[in-house]
Amino acid sequence: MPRLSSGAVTHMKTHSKYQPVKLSASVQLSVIFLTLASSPSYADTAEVSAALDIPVVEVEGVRAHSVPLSGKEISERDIKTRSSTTLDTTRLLEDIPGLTVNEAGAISALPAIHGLADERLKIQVDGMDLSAACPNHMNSILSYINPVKVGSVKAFTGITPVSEGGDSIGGTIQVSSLSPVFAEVGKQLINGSVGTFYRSNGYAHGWNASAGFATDQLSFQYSESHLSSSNYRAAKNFKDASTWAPVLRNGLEKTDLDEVGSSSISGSVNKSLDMAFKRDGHLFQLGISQQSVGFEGFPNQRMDMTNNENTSFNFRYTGLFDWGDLNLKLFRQRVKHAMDMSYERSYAMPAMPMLSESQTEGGSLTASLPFLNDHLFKVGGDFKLYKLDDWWPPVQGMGPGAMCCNNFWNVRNGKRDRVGIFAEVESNWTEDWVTSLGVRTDMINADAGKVQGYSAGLYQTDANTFNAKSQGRRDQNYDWTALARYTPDRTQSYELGLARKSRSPSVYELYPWSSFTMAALMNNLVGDGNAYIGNMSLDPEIAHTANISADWHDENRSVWAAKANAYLTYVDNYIDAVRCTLASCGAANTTKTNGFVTLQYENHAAKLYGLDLSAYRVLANDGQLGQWTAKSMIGYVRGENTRTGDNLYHIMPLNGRFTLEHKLGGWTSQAEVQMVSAKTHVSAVRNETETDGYGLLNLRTSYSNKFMKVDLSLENALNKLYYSPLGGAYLGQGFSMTSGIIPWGINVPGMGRSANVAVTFFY
Amino acid sequence: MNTINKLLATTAFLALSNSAFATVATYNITTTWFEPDTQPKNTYFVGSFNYDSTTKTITSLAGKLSEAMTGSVNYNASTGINGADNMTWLSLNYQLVSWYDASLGGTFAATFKNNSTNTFWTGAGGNGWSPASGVAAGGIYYGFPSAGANPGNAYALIFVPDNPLTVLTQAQINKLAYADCSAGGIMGASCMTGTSASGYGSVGTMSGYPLSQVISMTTVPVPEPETYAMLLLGLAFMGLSSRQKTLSR
Ligand SMILES: [Cu+2]
Repeated sequence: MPRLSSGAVTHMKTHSKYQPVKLSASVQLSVIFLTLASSPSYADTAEVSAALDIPVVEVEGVRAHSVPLSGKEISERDIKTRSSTTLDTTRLLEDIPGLTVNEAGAISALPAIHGLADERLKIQVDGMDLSAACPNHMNSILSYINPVKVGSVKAFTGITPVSEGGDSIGGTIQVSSLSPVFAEVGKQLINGSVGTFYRSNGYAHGWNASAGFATDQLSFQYSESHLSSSNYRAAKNFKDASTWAPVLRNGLEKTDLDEVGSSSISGSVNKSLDMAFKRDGHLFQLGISQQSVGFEGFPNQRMDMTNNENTSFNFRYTGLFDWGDLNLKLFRQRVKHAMDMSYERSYAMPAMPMLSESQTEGGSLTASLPFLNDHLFKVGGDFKLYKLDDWWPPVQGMGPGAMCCNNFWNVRNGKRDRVGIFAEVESNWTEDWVTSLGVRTDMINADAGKVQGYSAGLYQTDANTFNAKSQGRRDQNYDWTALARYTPDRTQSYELGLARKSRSPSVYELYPWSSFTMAALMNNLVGDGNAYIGNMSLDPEIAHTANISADWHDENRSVWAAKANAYLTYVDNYIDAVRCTLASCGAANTTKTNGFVTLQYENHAAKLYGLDLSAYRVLANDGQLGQWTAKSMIGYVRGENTRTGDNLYHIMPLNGRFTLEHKLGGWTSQAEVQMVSAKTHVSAVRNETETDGYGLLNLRTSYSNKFMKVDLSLENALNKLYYSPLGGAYLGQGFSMTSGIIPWGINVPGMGRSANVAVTFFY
Repeated sequence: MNTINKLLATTAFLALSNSAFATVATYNITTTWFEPDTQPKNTYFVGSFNYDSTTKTITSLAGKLSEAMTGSVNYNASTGINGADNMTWLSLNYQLVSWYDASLGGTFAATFKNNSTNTFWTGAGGNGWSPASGVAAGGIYYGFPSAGANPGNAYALIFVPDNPLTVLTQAQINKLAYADCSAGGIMGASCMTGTSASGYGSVGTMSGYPLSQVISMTTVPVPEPETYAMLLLGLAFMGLSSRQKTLSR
């Protein structure tokens, strides 16, 4: 742990005795309001501490303040109760109030905060600010880190301070690997783990292993994980034989009526090597990670991922100096991505190969400087250079027409470069009042090269229209945030946040150009089965948000706590979609209410508002019977397009999670009831379908000691057939290159009952 | 018998001997399949056939089939094939199948690009060409999985009501179909097809379905019964007048 020489006062409890913590005033201030950027929080895991035979002291009270009151940090310990049987890291976020999950492939779900999803959020893995490189966002950012490797999750769900945001309007999610572990001075540390898991539904299975070596200054950690799963099954038959019979005959393998087609995953491998070096208040970290996925099906897309290879290099430096701290991050990521159709969609493989390659280079430099004792000045800048090629090779054996004879260039030489700078002041005015004010500006340059279709004719009109325009563009965006927190005593605090946030359109909102239905169907970021065309004249979205949070609890947070968060956001230039009116989209496209349609992105305006409530109460705490805790979480959000009056797409209806938790010895057990109301506010322009309300019961238990951890869970224990409101359209079977064959109006069903078991051994 | 009488007798004989074919007529036909995904272009079959109203049989069905995925401008009947449009058209010159359907009240016929009906993959059963077997095969080409074994066939299946000039009912339209497994019609391993959900359980592979069919009398007439009668009358008139000339002399 870096030591500080400045006169440090700390209220933070030390949680690992072998790492005495001393914090400077600056650090303390950071902790009060915001997360300490990427400053290392050293290993406080039950496992490591247990392995070292060091008592663990929980630090919930302090930790809760490391993000704004409206946000949430999930501790490593809470992550651990879930991660072993979870395939998808995004699923770990489901306990965050205000955060919902849009379904996609087995490891590629997309998080949404208060109804704003995907690229409207800033999502970082180990500080790397990444973007998907796929017209369906299959290689989502959180798919790059295996759940078992996740050490911390921070979500800024209300107001994201400018130092943590930028080029996003809907909050920030920071997922980080387990922190590096160092040995005591003069000692060496060798640790590791081997784990395996099995989920009965879909016969998902995998294993993971890690090995580490550390001295007091150096730390090496290698980890690897493998995952495969067959198609999962819904609780009951969901395919109506009468509507599906013709489709089942149409070029697809026979599947059972409860089997969700194109939902399998195979050959998913993550490997990473993390190195860390620390000395006198300086911490250097270098991470190299490689991910490959052999196949991942997408039941709400018309394509499947047939290969994805990701390599990233990530360098981070944190230095604590007398004058403040300094954070430097540099990273580079390269992705090679391939899509085609699974056997369940077509007998033929390959049917329509689609390839993309991207490179992202980014970094940031942040300095935190305390001044006048009670203030902290944060200043910094960051950049992200993103390059994308997205092309679809011609298919052999065809003549000039749909898929011959050249590469179809969906996005050629796509580019989106961003540079941002910010300044932020946090002020500790009195014991009761703390404020944070920040401003930032981002410049975004986007461009793309000229395009072509598979052949002239069919594609020529659109290609000519696109190529005749200038593709280059520049946005200069301005953000500000203001947060004020009032803490009258140790049992309550209130926070008001106001912000202006901007986001420039993404490459996939700007540049996909073909209105030919087949091509447009392949550009779909939201899993609704519709066809999308880009729009080069989109303006940046600008959101104005007001957020109020209140937190009540007993003095030590040891018995109860309740938190409420209300928000209202107006988004100018909200990028929604309108029905395509080009002749090539057909006359019926504008009026169709019961089928898939062709849409084009367009700037509108939107209003989102809602409420998150979360609370816990310890019901009984008895040395013999253990600790019983009731937890609840309720979320509600409404989203409206204020120009058209339509509802926004994929807005989660009123929902709640109610958990009874029991802890005794090494055991932690949970019975969780998840309740979701019917989705009746649906997006008319997208022909979004309604879903019924439902309730699910999940049972989990986990036992851990210093040598091992066993997780057992029964998800959807009552085997209830349900459709997640954010599940998207079921497109997993049948010829998907056209808008009319796959029946419209079927939602992707959720997973039926699944018994899961995971065992992990530590050494 | 003078020469005039001889001529008249010969003409009468010819007319009589032709009466065996007197019920056969030639028609033009334009069948349209709506293609939602390739708008504004649709798939057209433009051709002709001979129809024997006595036996209700179709012969010599032949014509051209447009490929909606090629070109950028739609077919315009008034300017004809490749008049305004720039689509590729396939020649379908082999009428290989035809049958009478009593319940629909008319005759089906299909004309093919190849002198063979082999069109669709037969791995899922079926006869390799019928719209039903095409739906069952997912529209996949004959000879799959070897692309080289695909004969690249195409066909149009039309329907002629008992009275060819009556407008088709929806039930009759629902049974019209086409398939295009030639190079310009292939999507992956699927041929481009046009079928209706009510007629065959599924729309075509690119969502195409039959929209309309127009049959008209050919405007370049092959002599028909009325024509023969006219000819006969004309000749008779000529004969009479020449005879009157002879008499008045
Ligand atoms: Cu993809």
